[in-house]
Amino acid sequence: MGTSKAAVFMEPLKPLEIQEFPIPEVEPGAVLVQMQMAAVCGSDVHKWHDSSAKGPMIFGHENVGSVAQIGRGVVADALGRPLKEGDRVVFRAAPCGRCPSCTQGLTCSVNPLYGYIPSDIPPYIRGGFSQYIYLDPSPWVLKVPDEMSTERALLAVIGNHTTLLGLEKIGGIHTADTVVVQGAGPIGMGGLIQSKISGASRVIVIGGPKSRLDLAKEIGADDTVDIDDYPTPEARIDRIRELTGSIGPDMVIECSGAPSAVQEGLEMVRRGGKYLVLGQATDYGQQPINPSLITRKAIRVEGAIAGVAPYSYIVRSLEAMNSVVSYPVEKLITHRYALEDINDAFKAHESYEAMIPVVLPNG
Amino acid sequence: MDVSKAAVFVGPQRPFEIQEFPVPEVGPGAVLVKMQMAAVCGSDVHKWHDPKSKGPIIMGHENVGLVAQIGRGIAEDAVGQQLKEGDRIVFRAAPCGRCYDCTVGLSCHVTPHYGMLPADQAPYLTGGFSEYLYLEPHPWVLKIPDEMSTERAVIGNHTVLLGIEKIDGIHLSDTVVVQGAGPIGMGALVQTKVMGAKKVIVIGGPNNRLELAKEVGADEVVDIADYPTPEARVERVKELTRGIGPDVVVECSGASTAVQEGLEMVRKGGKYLVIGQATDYGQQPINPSLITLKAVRMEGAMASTAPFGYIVRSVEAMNSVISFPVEKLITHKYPLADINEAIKVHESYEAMIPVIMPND
Repeated sequence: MGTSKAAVFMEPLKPLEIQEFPIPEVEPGAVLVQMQMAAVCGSDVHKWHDSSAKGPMIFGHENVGSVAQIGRGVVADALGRPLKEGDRVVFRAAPCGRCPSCTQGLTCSVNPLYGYIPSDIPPYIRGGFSQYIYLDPSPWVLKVPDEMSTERALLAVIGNHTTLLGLEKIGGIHTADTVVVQGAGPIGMGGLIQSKISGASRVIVIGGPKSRLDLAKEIGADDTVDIDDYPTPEARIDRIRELTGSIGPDMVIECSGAPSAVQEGLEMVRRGGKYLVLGQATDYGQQPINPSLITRKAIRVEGAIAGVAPYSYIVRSLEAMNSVVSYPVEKLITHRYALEDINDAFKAHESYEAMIPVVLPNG
Repeated sequence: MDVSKAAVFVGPQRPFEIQEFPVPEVGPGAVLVKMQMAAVCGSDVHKWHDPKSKGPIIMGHENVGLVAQIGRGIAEDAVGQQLKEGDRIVFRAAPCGRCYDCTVGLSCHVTPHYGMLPADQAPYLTGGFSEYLYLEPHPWVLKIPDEMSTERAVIGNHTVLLGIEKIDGIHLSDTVVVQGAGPIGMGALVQTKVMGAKKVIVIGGPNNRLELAKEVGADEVVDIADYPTPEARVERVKELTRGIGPDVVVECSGASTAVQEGLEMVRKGGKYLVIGQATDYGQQPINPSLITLKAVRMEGAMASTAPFGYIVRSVEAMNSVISFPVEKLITHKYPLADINEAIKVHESYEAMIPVIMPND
């Protein structure tokens, strides 16, 4: 194992290139991970399009791998369980513990994020679209339970920990709540699943295309609203009113990323209801939004993003996927690609044909 | 007490007229109130301007009065205290208890709101800008403690109390920005101070209101005359909060542009209470990614969503928790006959809270 193949983002809109990198000596405290599965995230595709994005970079920040080699001094995972070669793990750089973000209980803003680091600086292999990934000394590592599928472990770190944080921040789903999920992508599926297992009586998913909505039904959606059938905000609001007996849902979860979704959600939610805004991770600037809806309907609005979720939410998200979520969520991973076919994975993501495409860097 | 004088809103932009109404016989379960003090609210002035508003109405919905006469069957107030003639009270129509809003714990939308009812239908006397006010059978009535000033009882601020509770309170040593230096802003200021805020910054104007804000506890003020643009105010607040931004922002300005400004001010992971946006000015340019990227909690609250338990607690808070000299917030007092002056002084921003003393 002298070298590792990796898919490298060179510059916007150019196909990712397969390159070989030297695998560094594993220094004390470091961990070398052999990648098993890395998801292609919407933000990867977004970055690939973004004219201000700079390469070279090995993407892939939603990762599951197995411990290939452990540096001296690393003996346990984040929960104190013995760590050995061959263990399946999810991982992050550990927070620094001393920056303003750490101090406020937010996620560290100083430490590197694997999947976002230039690949022309040693140790080079620092993203998931690679056979191996090198974790700098003293990483944060969490073992995946043996009985759990790699698919479920991966889903636990695809937005689900952020959704967990968001739902907790907003005061949770109450038993028998009616929930509307805006967006039928991976984050929307997380909103759907977590609402169902938290006791929602009915979850309505708005989105498209039909293939995604059918998948939503398979994993628990009670109703779906296809944006092809209801192409305007007014039509969707009316449809939601019909489905909720004119009162509106108790909770709306925005997972669409569409900047126009927030005004629509504020109109849908019932008086005194709750609105969790998870999807607005891209800044599209100011949008026409009526702020008097917040005051007059006494709405609670809450935002959450992976960048503010302490890692304890990853622990709980993994636990939830392992022992609480009984829906056949493995089906959400619709497409699998070898490392060499990564450009096809990006294409499948862009076309909305896939729900979650993954790369299997070691086959 | 056969007749009661009242100030009547007869149509948009027209001076209020003082008219006389018959005082009705007090039926079983009803209560006749002799008004002591009624605040002129921004929403009264707003309604006076609104071309869609229809008169005649006796306005006045922030009221303190004395029990003048009690109908048969009324023995206690809402917290079980004995009720007798001469007691000072605040009051509402009781919620119906069976509509959707009552069912989910919001404020009833079915029962009448005193101060917003037509004055050409019996029993006529249904607003606070009147010598007497007639409460329909089985009203919700709360006695004011004897030791408490009528000024404090009128100020109340129960909506702010609800909003701060919904947003999970102020944490000890939080830095708070209050947008708006009007009566609601003053409520947010005093409540966040008594909950342990380290520093409360009030943004608004004019200077006389900001001076008053300082007297009732503001640590810093930002005068919109000195910082006339949103950018300048966001920058100034950043300076005053070590570049991080406040932990909590409370919007009490009613300005439709305030919400985007508040979202820019609040720190990452911070909280934003929006209680000023009670008037619908339509869609505004607001950047929704600030909510997700900064993981902001926003919360709305309005008087009409506050169960009456919050009135009980806000009277208690004004009586025994808030030590700031809040009586000073009532800057202007008028007899009923001068109500048009009171409306004018409210509009000019010269007053903080003008009140009518209908029996003076």
